[in-house]
Amino acid sequence: MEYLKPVSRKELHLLLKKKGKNLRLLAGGTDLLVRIRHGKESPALIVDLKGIRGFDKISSNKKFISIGPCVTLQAIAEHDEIRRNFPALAEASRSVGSWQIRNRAPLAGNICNASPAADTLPVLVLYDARVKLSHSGRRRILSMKRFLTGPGKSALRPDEYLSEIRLPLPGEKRVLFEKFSRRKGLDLSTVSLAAGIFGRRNRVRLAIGACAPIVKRQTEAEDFLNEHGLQDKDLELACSLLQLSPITDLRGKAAFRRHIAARLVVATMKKLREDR
Amino acid sequence: MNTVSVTFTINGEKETRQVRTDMTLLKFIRETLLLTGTKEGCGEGECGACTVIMNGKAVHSCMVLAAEIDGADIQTVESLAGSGELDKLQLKFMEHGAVQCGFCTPGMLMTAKALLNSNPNPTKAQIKEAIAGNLCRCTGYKQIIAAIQDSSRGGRK
Repeated sequence: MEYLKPVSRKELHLLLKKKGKNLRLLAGGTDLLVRIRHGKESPALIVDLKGIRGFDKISSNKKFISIGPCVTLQAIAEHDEIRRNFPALAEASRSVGSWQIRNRAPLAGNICNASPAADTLPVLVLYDARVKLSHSGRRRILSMKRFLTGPGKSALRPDEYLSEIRLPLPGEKRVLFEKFSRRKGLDLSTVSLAAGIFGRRNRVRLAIGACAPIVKRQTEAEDFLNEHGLQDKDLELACSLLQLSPITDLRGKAAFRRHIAARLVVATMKKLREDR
Repeated sequence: MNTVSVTFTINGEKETRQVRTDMTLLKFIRETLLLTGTKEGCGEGECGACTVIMNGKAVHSCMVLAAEIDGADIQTVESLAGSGELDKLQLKFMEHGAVQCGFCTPGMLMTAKALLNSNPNPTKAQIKEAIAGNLCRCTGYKQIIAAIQDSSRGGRK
């Protein structure tokens, strides 16, 4: 296994162009090193992204906050501007793994692994985050909806890398992230949920994690709530419109996940409706 | 086998070494630098036994490649008594009976050290959050939390 640490984007682009297939990008390594240890992957070349200037920076302009590909989950959880504008993203980032993992693992890795149980995905979907995918001389900006294509699958091509995450401003404070897991620290979600009330028109947004192959907005339930309101009876009816196809695994049976998802929706929307 | 050259600081001493690209920082610390205070528990980022401080932050040394430490500052549990005297944290762990089998202790100490360096006066909740990734199979968490709290600026002594 070869290890290279490019110091410029240009150098990285050349590597991606030349080396192609059996190359793996390394930022935090908290997933990749486990996969290598288990023999699930044996890359010929590891390209460490942490040597490129600016990749560990969070910046902002009038339109969005921009997060570099090496910005760790802990840095996001502690970042003032993110906490002010996107509090639920700070909360979700803080719920991942342990302190040691958050000190290494970047948000970009959580996105690129595209796990249906990735804790930051429901929140990113809710905030309408965009990802910039770069390639030598080209780049494209995708919505989360277009980026996430299946469990563990994304639109990222082998010669591309995620170069930036954009969070559109103004953010929204009235968003809650909830995670249901077997133990509080260091566990994957059995069910996760992001729910919020957005903008002057108080529109409901809702996304549920770990209950379907792809994390996406629950548009039918959202439309129903936006039309009918947030009374107890509306919340119960909205739960019957959730688009869920959970699996049964060691974290919970499918029916249990459906039940928990519905209870989380009701409990979280009740907390939110005070602000509507 | 591929190797790369890394220059780093380990417990205050600057060193340059040639390391295998497939070697973890944990293995490098234990088998090349022969600093065996750092323990391997799970080897995959679940238990926290291998925690060291890298550039001021608590990290799992089993989840870092030795190749990644070029330019880094690494502190292992051996750094705590580097002056020849035990660190306050170590004394408090002894005083509170926070060590049973002792296997989680080096990792616990280094996570606690990183916490107190960045937050000299943590609340009990902040201590719990910081050590959530350090498993103690003897389940002596109560004593460990008390020892860390007692070592903080607001502690008894």
